[in-house]
Amino acid sequence: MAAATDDAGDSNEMIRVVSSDGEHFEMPEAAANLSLVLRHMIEDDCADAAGIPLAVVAAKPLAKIVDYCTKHAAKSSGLTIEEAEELKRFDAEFIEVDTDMLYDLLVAADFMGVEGLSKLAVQRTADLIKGKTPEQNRETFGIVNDFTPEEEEEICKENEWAFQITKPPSRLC
Amino acid sequence: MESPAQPAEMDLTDELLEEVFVRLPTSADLARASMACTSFRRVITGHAFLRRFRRLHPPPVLSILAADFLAAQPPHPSAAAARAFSDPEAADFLCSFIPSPDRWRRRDFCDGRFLLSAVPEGSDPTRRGYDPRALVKHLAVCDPLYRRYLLLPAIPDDLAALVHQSDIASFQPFLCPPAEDEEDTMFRVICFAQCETKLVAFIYSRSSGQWHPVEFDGWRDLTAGTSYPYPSREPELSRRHYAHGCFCWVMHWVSKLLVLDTRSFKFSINLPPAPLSRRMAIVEGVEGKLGLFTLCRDIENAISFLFNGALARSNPANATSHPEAAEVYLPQMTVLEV
Repeated sequence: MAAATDDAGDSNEMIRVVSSDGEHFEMPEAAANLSLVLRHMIEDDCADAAGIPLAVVAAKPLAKIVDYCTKHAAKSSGLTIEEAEELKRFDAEFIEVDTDMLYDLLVAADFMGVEGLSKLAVQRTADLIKGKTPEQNRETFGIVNDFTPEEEEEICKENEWAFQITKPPSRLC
Repeated sequence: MESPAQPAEMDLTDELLEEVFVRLPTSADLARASMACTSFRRVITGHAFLRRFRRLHPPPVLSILAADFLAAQPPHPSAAAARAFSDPEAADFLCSFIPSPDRWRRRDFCDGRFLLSAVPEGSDPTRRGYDPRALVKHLAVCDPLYRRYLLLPAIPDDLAALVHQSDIASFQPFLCPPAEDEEDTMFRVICFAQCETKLVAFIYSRSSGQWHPVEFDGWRDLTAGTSYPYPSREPELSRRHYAHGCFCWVMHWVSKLLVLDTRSFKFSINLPPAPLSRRMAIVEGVEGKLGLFTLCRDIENAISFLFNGALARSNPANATSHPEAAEVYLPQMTVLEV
């Protein structure tokens, strides 16, 4: 299995990637392996000096993703409690980004198959949504209210409980 | 590269949106999120998504319904919601919203729903209670919080004919939670008819809208030789237990458990890991196993202890060895009512 040879190989080879807007980045092979897409490309010998092109990931999020993968690959197995704590702090700081970057990271991490980062970005998005009114959520995420007035009235009535904290929806109808 | 003043629109794929929404901590957050725009609403109200969300966030316990409404108290997270129901206007636990309320009797309560059975035609509706041996074909399910009710189709005559009223020792209708892959509005109802020579369950599933019967073939062997009927109280099943999708009854006269698995709706017999007593509870153990707690007392040494054992879901009927069990000694003076 390819995964088993990763640790044994312990190669210090650098993998080059190219963003959609033509910027080049480098990261250790172990870091690139955290991306399912890059790992498959490396296994298929598609990683060359020209770099792996990532057609849908722009330079800004890609720089962040390279950071993330490099940090996590350096501390992949056999973490001490302190190291695990440090990695958690890194993640918390890492994901403190504006909604534009968050959106880019969500899409890019999903596209590149970086599982840990996907989870982190998805959780951060959920944290931003919780406790907010629909209007606040629209503001935060730049969402356009595309309900018709009739629809809006209906869903307001239906979800009244979610504002009054009185009762959960009926389990009968 | 400065970020624009207007944030980018969240046109994520449905899969990504689901991953986000499923991490919202409460159903109120989910409901508010669904009001932001049509694409959020479409994803959130999708049946598959809602099933996934509800599995991760089971509805909160608001209260325990015993003789009265025992509301959750602070610091329980449902305390605020539960307080709202202490107001008699907020909910109708007498189910007076059902037509002819005096013709119905409350039989079971589970997951926020009441199961009512109709008083048979011609009997005196002013008499309280119900006949625990009477086969009832007409049942209704009520939601006391929303004052809604559903009349179930009557148990068809050809099914009811499987048992004869004169043979029935006990007829228990009760609610059964929905199957794992079903919406939580898809409850099921079981009517359990215990006769001398037959044990039949009539099962109603809301998703199919139909009744179907399940008969337990081994009943005659288990009851052979017992003195029947009451008042010998043999063969009398214990009260009903529910754990990991299985209803269980103790058959004290043979020291075995009768198990009805609600996934397959098959009956089986299970050998308990410890001596059975009247003071016991069947609980959800790890790895889908059923656990059993039995309170035992050693009068001579004045100690109490719990038998704590796991039982496989369906032991073969002829199993002879007792599965693993452990004893937990309780401090003296511990009072445990199960």
